[in-house]
Amino acid sequence: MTEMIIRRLLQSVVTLLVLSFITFAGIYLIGNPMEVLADESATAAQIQAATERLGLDQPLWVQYWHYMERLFAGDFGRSYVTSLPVSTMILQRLPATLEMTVISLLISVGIGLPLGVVAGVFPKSRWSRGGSVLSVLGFSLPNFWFGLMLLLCLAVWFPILPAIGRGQTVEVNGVAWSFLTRDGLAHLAMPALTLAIGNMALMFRLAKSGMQEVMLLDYIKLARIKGLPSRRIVVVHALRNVMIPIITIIGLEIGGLIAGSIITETVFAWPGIGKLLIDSINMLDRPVVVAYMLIFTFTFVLINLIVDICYIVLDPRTREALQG
Amino acid sequence: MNRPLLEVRNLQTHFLTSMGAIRAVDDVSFSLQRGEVLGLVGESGSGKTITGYSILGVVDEPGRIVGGEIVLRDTEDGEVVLNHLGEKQLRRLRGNRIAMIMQDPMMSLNPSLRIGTQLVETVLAHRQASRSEAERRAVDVMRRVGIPDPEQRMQAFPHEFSGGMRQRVAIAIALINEPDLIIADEPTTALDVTTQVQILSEVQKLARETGTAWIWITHDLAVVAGLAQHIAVMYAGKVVEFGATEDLLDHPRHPYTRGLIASIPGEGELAADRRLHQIPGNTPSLLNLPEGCAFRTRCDRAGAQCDIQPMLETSSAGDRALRCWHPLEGQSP
Repeated sequence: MTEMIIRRLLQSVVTLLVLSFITFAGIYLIGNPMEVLADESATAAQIQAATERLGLDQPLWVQYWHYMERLFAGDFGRSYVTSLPVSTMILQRLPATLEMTVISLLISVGIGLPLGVVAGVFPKSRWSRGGSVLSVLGFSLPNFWFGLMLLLCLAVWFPILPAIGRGQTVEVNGVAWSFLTRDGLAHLAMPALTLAIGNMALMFRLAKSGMQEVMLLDYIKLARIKGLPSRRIVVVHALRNVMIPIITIIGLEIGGLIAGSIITETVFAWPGIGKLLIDSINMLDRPVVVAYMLIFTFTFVLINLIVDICYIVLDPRTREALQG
Repeated sequence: MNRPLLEVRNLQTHFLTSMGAIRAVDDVSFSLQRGEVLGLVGESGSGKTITGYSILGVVDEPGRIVGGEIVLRDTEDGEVVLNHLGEKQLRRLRGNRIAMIMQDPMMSLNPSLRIGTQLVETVLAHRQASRSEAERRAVDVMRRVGIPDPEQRMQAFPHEFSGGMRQRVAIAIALINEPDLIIADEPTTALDVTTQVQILSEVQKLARETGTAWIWITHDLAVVAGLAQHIAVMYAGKVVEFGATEDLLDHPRHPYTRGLIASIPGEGELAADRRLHQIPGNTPSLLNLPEGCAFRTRCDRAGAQCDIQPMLETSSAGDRALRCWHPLEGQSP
């Protein structure tokens, strides 16, 4: 298993190198950042000087080489726009996105999964059918629409929850978190719920159809024949086998949540990293965009690794495949 | 004669579908003494397995027991009617006083749980035992069904076992609580022939040793011939003939039973020039059963009377029953 983890991490280095070059070259091709950055009143000489200072006058491969040199020394460079170190900018914004994504994941798995399991065990019940209808709505309607509707209902008509921003935060080791304060949690509620709805519907349907299928299998029949209590049949015998595909989807969905957070952050003016990315692309702020891509690619590699480790824990058959 | 351990009286289990009721089990009666082996014989779809599920109360929707009684006797507190019990009381009997071995050992064990867990949970569901007691019991029963190295094998998962070994595990699960009755649903059909013989001879030994009663469900008369004291022959959801094994095999009275016996390849008769006997036609669809005797379309003795359903008539001595208007007069097949 250790061997697998090391092999995976080495593979990810290659992925990261390729991706960094594609992003780097992509933004290079879109246009010259100087055109966006420079003041209208700037003289040609001033622009020339700034271009040289940022190294933008050099050929692509030289620029890339310099960037990578600094990256391996642990330096993500400085933003063209704010002149702040990119690492500082990302660290400022990342916690806001992370807490929103994690809480939304907890909501979707914590609510969607158990409801789906119950619905799958009693597929004929009115409750299960109703849930299926609602779940279609849940993932076919776009999440910005949900966000706007929530804002309309809970912030405008019945102003129970605050509409925008992160609210009060608490600093832990120099990082600001909202979920540790009451006010922060109130601010988190709507964005996290908006982000969670599609995923919750997906979890419900996966758990329901998975349970429905498994409950008809011979080994569940034998578990009943053995006289096991029904709770043990559902939780130990059925759910364990249903969890294998669900874990895969959860892994993929974490990626989807981070991508989806860009829209949600825009709706709720949530100062997260998604907004930073959009702003940086608009400004052709290459160091920020490339760093963002690298960080998130690495996150994906890690998530997939964790998913694979979960497989090994859940499905004994994969253990041998790995050793053999 | 003692009062029987299990009595099934006029059992009817129907599947109520949108296309009409499928009468999977329709008027099945038989009884079984303590420690006795009963062979329940019939083609696929004749309702053997559903009869087994009905006894345990595990028939899946939309199936339901719509008539009849299944009576289980106890030496101490008299009798219970299984199909009148609630789910909670039934659960206490399942896996405890009545166990079942399913047909396909590749499918009936949970792939993600250790063999030991699947045995131990069966004990813990019914007894106030500690984990280590239950484990001791599991090791003991695994050894009895011929699984080598049981202490180590407890830690294994089903996919590390061959088909024959898995079926031994399934038999061990059935035996572990020393039930009064084990329903074995073609437990050797999915195995290769040499494994079949091994398992059969071991079950024979176990049946003699434990004093457990068995219902051995099979499509193969040859299998139960050496195993069962009594045989019930089923056709299209009904018991058509019942009798002591030797008597039934030597003197079949129902034309269907005779057909089944004639289709067994005898010893030394497998020469190329001898054709095996076939019963003409196929089992009828249960959705669309003909009125009257369901076998009459395939029967060479059928007459006008066969349009009316014959009753299961029990002989005066009570050891033979038959459902036929034109029975064979007890001649050799």
